[in-house]
Amino acid sequence: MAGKAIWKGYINFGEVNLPVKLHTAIKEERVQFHLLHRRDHVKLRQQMICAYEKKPVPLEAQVRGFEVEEGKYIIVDPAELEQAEPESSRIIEVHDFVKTEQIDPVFLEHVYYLEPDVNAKGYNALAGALIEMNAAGICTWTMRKRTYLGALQASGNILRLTALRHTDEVISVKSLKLRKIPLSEKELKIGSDLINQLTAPFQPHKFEDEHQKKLRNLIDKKARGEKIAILRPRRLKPTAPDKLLQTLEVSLKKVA
Amino acid sequence: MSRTFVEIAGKRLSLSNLEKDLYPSYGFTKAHILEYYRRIAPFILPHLKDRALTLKRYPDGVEKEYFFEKRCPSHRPDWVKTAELRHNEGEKMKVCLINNLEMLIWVENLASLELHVPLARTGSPETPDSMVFDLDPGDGADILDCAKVAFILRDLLSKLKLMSYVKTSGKKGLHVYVPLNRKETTFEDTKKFSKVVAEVMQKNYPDLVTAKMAKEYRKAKVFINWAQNDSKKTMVCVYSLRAREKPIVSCPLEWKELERLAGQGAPEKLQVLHSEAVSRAEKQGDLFRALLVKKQKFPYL
Repeated sequence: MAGKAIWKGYINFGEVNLPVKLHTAIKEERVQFHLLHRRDHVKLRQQMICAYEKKPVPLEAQVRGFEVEEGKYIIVDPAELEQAEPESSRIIEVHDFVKTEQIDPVFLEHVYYLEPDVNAKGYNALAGALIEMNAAGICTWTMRKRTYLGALQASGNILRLTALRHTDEVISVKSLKLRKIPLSEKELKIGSDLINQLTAPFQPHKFEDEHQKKLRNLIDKKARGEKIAILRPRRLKPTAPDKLLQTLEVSLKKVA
Repeated sequence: MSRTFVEIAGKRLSLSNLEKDLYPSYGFTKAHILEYYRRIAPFILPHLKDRALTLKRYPDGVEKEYFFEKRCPSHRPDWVKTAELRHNEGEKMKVCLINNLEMLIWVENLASLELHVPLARTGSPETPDSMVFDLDPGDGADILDCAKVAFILRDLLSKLKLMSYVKTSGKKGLHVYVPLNRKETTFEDTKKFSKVVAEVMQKNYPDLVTAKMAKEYRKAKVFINWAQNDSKKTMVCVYSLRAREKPIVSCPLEWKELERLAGQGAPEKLQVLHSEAVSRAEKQGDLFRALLVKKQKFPYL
């Protein structure tokens, strides 16, 4: 598998102990902008400003506080936070297997591809069995000081791990207290017919991110023609020399 | 240490280590340096005259350590002319005055490759006889950008009825001078005037010019260093050598010559070597003569 693995671990259940490497399946490629000073295009950076003194506060003078009520904080120091950190481990522990369709998409988070590491005997067998049985292994693991819940699935002959949200992160529909709308057989029939007419294979590439595309076009255009901030301006602005003289004369009279 | 004795105008000088190569990657010995200054002397001396010299000495050549010396070295022959300056806290200090050829050869024998002088003479230390715009390119800008700024400055100043003159810094920049030669002018005036000009230039050409010293503002821009107009500051003297890989000179250029050279789009064309500086001066005379004689008055101030 091309690219660099981000983490290594072992899939573990029963007698199975399968070494795998994680590769992220998602890339974030949005157009990024930098914030610059309008006047001279020097890059801006962020600073933490004291809300009362309005002065920047250096890193060593910053602590973490949990707000218990407005303006009241419980201060936690880094040592205390470290205590709460999960023990590091390399085990992706499979607890149960469920039917794939039982996992509500609302739980789905980040997807990783799993590459068989050396001596990953049984990788193909596991992938094949998961497809055959249309099953997903519900598992937990610890990665970079965070505990994850996930679904181990297979697609083609590749295992993949989808991080799932924990139940307390998901808002139930019930809590929204939506009004129930009665539905007649006839309405259902009309709806189904319409869906049948529009049914097509899933082709996500048909839908481009139009906004990102427009942004890229805009930047390409500017980079080709007009001057932009990141390019070194070689040409002078056509300020009329007479205007320059006027400005200078005004300024000179001011200081005189 | 090898020594050679020479006599100039009846003064006996002991010259040391003439064979020492002070520009090793170019091959330019102390003898070459003395020869350069001997030939350029008629042109540089009027500009050094009665100015408190700051020596910038390179005893082991341009690739090795150097040091500044404001105080005239105490081991000097009795004919060396000095002036007494009042230092910051009233402390007195003797400085060298390079008023003749023997003095020039004497300081060059000390490997003072670069000669830096204030804009005022010792007799009137608070009266600048010129105003300077020290054009210094930041990272990503070069001497061609300085030339663009210099041309705008020249045009702008001429509209205020002020003639200006340009020389290469001998490094990466250009120096634009405005002769004044009036005893009423103060550093306060020149500083005020040059600062306003620099700020107006920055405002009108924000992509090209900055009037701010801080490095981050100077990126890809020309810094107009107006703060050089100060009694405590020195500028490298016109016709002085610079301590670089090659013996390059801070050399005056006619405006149309600068236009022609800058027009070729090659920054290295604006680096004038010792030999070229001498032949230019001998052919054209001192292009900076106006700095010594021309009287000009600021409008408005």
